[in-house]
Amino acid sequence: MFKRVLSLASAAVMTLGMAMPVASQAAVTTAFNAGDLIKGSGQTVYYFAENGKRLVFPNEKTYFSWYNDFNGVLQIPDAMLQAIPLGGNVTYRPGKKMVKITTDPRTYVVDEGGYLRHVSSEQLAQTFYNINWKNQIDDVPDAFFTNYKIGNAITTANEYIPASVLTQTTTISQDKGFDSSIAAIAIGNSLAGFAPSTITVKKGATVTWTNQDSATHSVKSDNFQSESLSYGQSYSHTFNSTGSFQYYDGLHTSIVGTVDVK
Amino acid sequence: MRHVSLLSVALATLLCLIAIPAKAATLNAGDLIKASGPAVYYYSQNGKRLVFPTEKTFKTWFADFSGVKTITDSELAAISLGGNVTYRPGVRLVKITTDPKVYAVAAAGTLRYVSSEALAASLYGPDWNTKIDDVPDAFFTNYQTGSTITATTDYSPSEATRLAADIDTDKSSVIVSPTPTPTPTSTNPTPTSTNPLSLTLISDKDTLHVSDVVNLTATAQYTTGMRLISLYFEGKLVTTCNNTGSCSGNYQMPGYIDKTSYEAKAVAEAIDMTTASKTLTILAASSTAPDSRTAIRVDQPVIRPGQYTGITVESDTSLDVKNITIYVNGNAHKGCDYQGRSCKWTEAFTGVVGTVYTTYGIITDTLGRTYYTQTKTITLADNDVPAIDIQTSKPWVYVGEKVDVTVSGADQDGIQSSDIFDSHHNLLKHCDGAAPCIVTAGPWTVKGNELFYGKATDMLGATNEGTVTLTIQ
Repeated sequence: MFKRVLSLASAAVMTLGMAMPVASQAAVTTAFNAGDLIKGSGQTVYYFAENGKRLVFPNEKTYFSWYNDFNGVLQIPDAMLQAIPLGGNVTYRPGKKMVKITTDPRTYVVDEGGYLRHVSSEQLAQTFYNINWKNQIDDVPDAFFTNYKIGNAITTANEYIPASVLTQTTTISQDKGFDSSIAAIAIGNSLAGFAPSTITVKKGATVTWTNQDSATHSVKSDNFQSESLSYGQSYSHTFNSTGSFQYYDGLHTSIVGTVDVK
Repeated sequence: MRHVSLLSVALATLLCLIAIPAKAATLNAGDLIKASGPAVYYYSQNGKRLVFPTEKTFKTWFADFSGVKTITDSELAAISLGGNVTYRPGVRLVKITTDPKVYAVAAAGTLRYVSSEALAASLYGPDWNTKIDDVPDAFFTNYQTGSTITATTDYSPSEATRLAADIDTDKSSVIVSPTPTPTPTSTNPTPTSTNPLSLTLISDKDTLHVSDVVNLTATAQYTTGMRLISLYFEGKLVTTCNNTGSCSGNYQMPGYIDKTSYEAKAVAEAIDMTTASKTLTILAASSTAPDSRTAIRVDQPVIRPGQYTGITVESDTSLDVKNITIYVNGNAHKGCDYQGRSCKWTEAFTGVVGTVYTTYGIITDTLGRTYYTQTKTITLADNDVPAIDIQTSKPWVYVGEKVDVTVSGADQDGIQSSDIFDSHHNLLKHCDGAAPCIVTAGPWTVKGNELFYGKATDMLGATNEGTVTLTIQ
C-alpha cells in the first residue's frame, strides 16, 4: 500500500539523456571536432569535448538552454560512439534561465562553470529577468543537483548581469573550462577505429590519443609515433605546422586516421 | 522570501491518497526520509540528504520502504541536498547504456571493468549476465573509474558488500580520488527567512570527541554593517564580536561525551537592528567507527597457510600516542607502549585455505581517548599475493617540482611485473621483472594531495596494490 506511493527521484520517470526527434536523419560521418554535437543510430545526443569524451545532456531543457534545434547534430557510427568515453553531464547555459531544484525552495541563477547562485529576493529576480521572471525558472530534478557547484549568493543587482553572462559563455567548452589548445581521440576496437577518424585542430594544439579498447594499439605515422598502448594508456603529440597528417595503427595497419591542422 | 510557484514539470507525481500526517521526527544519520512528495532520501551523517537516482540504486541498499520516516515539506527543504547515492558495492554488475563494457562496483562508487566473461562467471556465478543493471548515461558521472579486474584475486563481491556496511561508510571509503562533487563555499545554505541578512555558521570538526577543541566561525552578509555576532555552544556563550562581519571562537569539549549530537548557534545583529540566527548540529563521534587519523596496512592480505605477514598500525602527527594495540579476530595480539606513531606485528597465520582473519588497531592517546582503525582481512589461499611497497622520493613537494615514485614487490613465487598508476588509475609505467619500478612524476601546477597506486604481480598471476599520498604545497 505505502509501497505504491513511494518512489525515488523523479528523474527515473523523465526521459534520461536528451533524445532527438526521429524526423531528421543525417548522413553518417566519421569526421567531427571538439565542440560538435554527435549521436549514434539511437536518439540520444552528446557533446564531444576537447578532452575526447562525450558529455551527456541530463534532460531536454538543459539541451535547449544551449541550442535552439537539432540542425547541427552529426551522426557517427555506433561502434565509434561506444569507443568514446562518457565525460559527465552538461549544466544549464549560464544566464539563460533561473533554476530551482525540485525539493529545494531556493531560486538560483546559473554562473559560468556550472555554479548555482542563490537569488535572495523577488526584487532581484525581477531585476534580472523582468516582470515575467517567474516564467524564467526551470525545475532541475534532485538527482542532477550534484552536477552543479554552489557559488556565492547574490544579494545586490550588480553582482550578476544576465546579458553579460550570456555573451561570456557561448559554448559548453567554455563553461567546462576547455580550450582549443587541446584535442583528444579515442582508440576503439577494429570496428570503431580512431574516434574521430578525421579531426581538425588549430596550429599548436596538442592531440592526445587514449586506448579505450582491451586490445593493444599504437599511433604511427612518418612524423610521429607512439609506443604500444594498452587499455587506458595515452600518447600525445603537438602539431606545430599546418597541413593534413595521416596516421595509422601500427598494430592493425588498416585502421587509419587524419589530423587536419589549420 | 515568498515561495515561488513551480512550473509544471514532466514528473509523474504519484498521488498520496492516504494522507499520513507529517510530524517533526527525530532524525538519525542513516535514516530514510520523505516529505509529502514520493521521493525517498538517505539522511547522511553530515546532515544532508542524498538522492537515489533510480529505484534500482535504492534496491541495492534496502529491501523495501519500511522504516521511512516522514517529515514536513519545510523540514525536508531545510535539509540540503548532498549528492547522489551510488550502487552498493558487490551486489550487481552494471553497464552504462551506450557502452558494452560490464563493470563491478567497488567502494565509493568506483566502477571496475571486468575484463572477461570467464572472470564475470567466476566472480558472480554462471548466471552472471542476469545480474547486470543498466545505468543511464546521465548518472554515469556519479561514478569514477577504477582499475580493471583481471583476476579473481583483484576483487571479491562479497567482501566489497561487507565493507560497505551502509551508505555513509561507503561514501567515506577512499579507493580513488573522488570525482569532483559540488563543494559548497559555505557549509550552510543561506536562510530562506523573510529578511535578507545572510548568516553562515561553520565548525572545523564534523564529529566531536572527548576534550576536542571545536572552532566555530560565523560570517554575516547584509546591506548595512553588523553591530554584533554572538556564538553559542549548547546554550553557553563562546564569544561575542563587535562591529565586524565575521566572528570566530573555540569551545573545549569536556572529558566525557553524554549526547549523540551537540548544537552550536550564531546570532547576528545588524546596525539597523535586523537580526538573524543560525544553528548547526555537530555529531558526537561514534566510539568504534574508524578514525581518519589512523591507518592500518597488511603486507600481504592473501597468504598461504603458515606464511608470515605483517600488520602495521599507525597514527598521523595530530595524535599524542600513548599506546597502540593490534587485534586479530577480536583478541589483542601486540601492544606498543610509548613507541611512537607506528606499531608492527608479524606472525604466521595457520589454518585451512579459505580461512579469513580480521584485524584492526586501537590507538590510545595520552589523555586516554581511543581511536579505532578500519578493519582489514587476511585470507588464506593456495597462492599468496605479493607484498607491495610504494614510496615517493620526497614526502611532499612544492608546486613546480618533480618526484620519483618507486614500487617494489616481494613474493615467494617471484615477481613477474610491477605497475605504477596515477590517482585516476591511468598507467604511468609498467616494469617487467622483479627490480623496483621507478617513474618520475610531476610537476604540478596547483597545491593539493596526489595519490599514486602501485601494483605487483607474482609469477602465478596474483596481484596486490598499495597506495601512497604526495602533498603538493
